[in-house]
Amino acid sequence: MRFLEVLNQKGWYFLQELLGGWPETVSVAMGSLAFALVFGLFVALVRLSRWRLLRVAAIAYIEFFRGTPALVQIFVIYFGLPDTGLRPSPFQAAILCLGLNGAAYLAEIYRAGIQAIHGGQMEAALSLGMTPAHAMRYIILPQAVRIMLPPITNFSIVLLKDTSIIFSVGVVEMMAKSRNLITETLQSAVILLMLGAIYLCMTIPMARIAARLERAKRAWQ
Amino acid sequence: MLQLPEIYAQNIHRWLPELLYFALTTLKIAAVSFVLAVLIGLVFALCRTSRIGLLQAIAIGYIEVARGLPIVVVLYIVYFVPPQLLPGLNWRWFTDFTGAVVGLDISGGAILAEVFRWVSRLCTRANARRRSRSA
Repeated sequence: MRFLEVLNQKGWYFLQELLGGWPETVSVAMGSLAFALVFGLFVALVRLSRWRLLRVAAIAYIEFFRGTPALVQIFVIYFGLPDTGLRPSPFQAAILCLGLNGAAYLAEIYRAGIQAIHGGQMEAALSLGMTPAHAMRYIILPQAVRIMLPPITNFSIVLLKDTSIIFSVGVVEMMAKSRNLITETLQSAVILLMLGAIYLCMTIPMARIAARLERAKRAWQ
Repeated sequence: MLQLPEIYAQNIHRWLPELLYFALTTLKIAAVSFVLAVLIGLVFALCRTSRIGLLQAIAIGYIEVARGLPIVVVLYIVYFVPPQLLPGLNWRWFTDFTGAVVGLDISGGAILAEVFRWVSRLCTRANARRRSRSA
């Protein structure tokens, strides 16, 4: 069969080329995950703030980033920011876009986790003389983390998969490598199935971890 | 500097109708693939919860693979791979619209299968609780 022939002859070359884009994929995913984890917490806390204006601003942020496609966001950031004088590299634009986008999703995960902790905990902490910030940091968040861990793992899988759109602004990651290889050799079947297999090698183990965390959470509750 | 207002004022009468026209295409693809994804999701949720081992294994395999792949990759695979694997067949009917719908259905069906399975489990558990309470 033609497919096996091509795989036999060119498979090794394709694999090396595709894996050449792997560090880029992973570093964008890690960078934007770190950014989203920090910024998402900030958005979640603003979302739960006492002041209405701050709450509305956080809701607007979350709705905007969850309501527009990530592909559109990355185009706006990469091609729009130069108009304001900033010139992000494709790599920076990718991390910024996926980070801002991810922060909106993570803010909702954080909020659900924080609200799942019974309100009595907060009241008890306040009545012991803790400030709200202290109570959040030492009483609520440590408990909420256990609830949030499975959805956060699932989110990082989604984020890793979403890095496949950043080839559109010129980051040379695995997806871009596969497109280059296809234009070079026209062997789209072999290349694309190999690319899919590489993604699965990363996402399926992560999904396993998420499922295990979910079971652990249920046992704990 | 930003000159957005002027740019919009000059061009919006040309851009907006065109964008809105293609929004119809977006909606069409979304609607068709949503309906099909619900069907696919139902079928695979039933397979996943079936007692027959083979059906279960197929459903698990499909769900894991389809959820583990980025949508872009699924779309590329659906659109470019089959014509190259089976070049003898007639692929004229396989338009970009069909490709988009099939690709979105593969991703969406897997997600919906998990959703349906989860919902059915919650319902069964709620029913069991109600029954034990009334007994």
